[in-house]
Amino acid sequence: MGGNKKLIKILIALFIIFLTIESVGYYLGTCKSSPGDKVKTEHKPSLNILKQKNSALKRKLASYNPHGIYIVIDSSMNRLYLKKGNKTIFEAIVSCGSGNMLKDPSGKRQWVFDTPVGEYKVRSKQTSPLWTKPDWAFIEEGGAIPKDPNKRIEKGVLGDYALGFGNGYFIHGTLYTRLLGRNVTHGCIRVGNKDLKTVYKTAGIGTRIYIF
Amino acid sequence: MLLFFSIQAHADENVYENYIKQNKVIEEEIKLSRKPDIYFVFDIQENKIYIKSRGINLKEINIQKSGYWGSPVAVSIFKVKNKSTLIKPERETIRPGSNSNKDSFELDALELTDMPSRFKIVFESGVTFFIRPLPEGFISTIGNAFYESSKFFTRPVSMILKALKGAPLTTFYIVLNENDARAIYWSLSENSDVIVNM
Repeated sequence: MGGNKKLIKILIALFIIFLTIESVGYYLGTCKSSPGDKVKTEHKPSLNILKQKNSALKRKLASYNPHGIYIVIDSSMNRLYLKKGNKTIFEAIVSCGSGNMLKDPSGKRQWVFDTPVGEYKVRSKQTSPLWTKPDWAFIEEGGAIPKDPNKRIEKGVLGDYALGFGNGYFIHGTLYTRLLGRNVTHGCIRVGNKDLKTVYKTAGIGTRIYIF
Repeated sequence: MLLFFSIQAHADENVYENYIKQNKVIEEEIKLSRKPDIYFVFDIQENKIYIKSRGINLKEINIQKSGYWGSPVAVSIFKVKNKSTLIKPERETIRPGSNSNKDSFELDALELTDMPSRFKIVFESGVTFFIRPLPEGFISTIGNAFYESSKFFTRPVSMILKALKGAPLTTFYIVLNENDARAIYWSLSENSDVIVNM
């Protein structure tokens, strides 16, 4: 009987402690103190000045926007967009990097097949491009890396056109059109032949490319 | 008439405050637009997340529901310290020679569907975002119910622990469409810059 009373007292004490902790924590979590954006009354600019500053800032931001046509690539959805301003003028289903890794059996090198993200520019344009197979392509196939550079050249695998944007990455055609919409490449962006022709004809050297 | 004037004064104050915030957001965006990088704007006020570069919207995502716990934060650039989830997507390692028969290509790749839709983003400042999907199906409904109930259990305790450590108390809760949540996990990486406007 005495033991039960003691146990009940302990339970009540624990419950009160628990409620106190919850209350303090809940208060800290919901107490909304003002952020640092509010301006002191004596330094308050007028609404007109704020509006003028707003317009000036928007103009400054707009000066960083790409001019003319630009390319946007959504690597998560495997979509390519040709845009001008805020308007999408063309959309294509593409294939982006698989995210897979390949290790050189010697253990000295490793490749991660991601499509790079950020802002790039079209640096080169080619018709009937030839693929110069890099080392990883031979390693992936389980074959030996040839010493003769001519043995690296493959025709036809890159489709009819290729737009290079640096570091060995291209927007190019593909033989594997059934895989468009999937993340299957080694980092390049593969486009169907008809869509690629549109991109190639529209984008010039210097056209900006945004990849995310 | 007094009521009309007080409502009008309150509305004017809101317009004023909105301009201050908007100007601050644009100022922060200008800093990020100088670099050729992708950045994010988490506009809690408008219920939108923008993936941007050079001041242009690359992608716009609707926030279905949002809330925060702790002190509000001033408009600022936050750098992602890490993102964490229960089961992190793993990269496949290609076995040399395994794809030699191109006709029987089997797809083993990291795709959007491999990304988690429920994860946490911690910024270098200590501010935290919990992202979770709209409940669809039994498991996500249970998961979201757990998060809702944690408001009354684990969150208050974590607030006290943060207060004792002197860490920022601000934690945001964002609910997105499942694919949008995955897209955010896909696109956001460590050291990504995010502007938060609340």
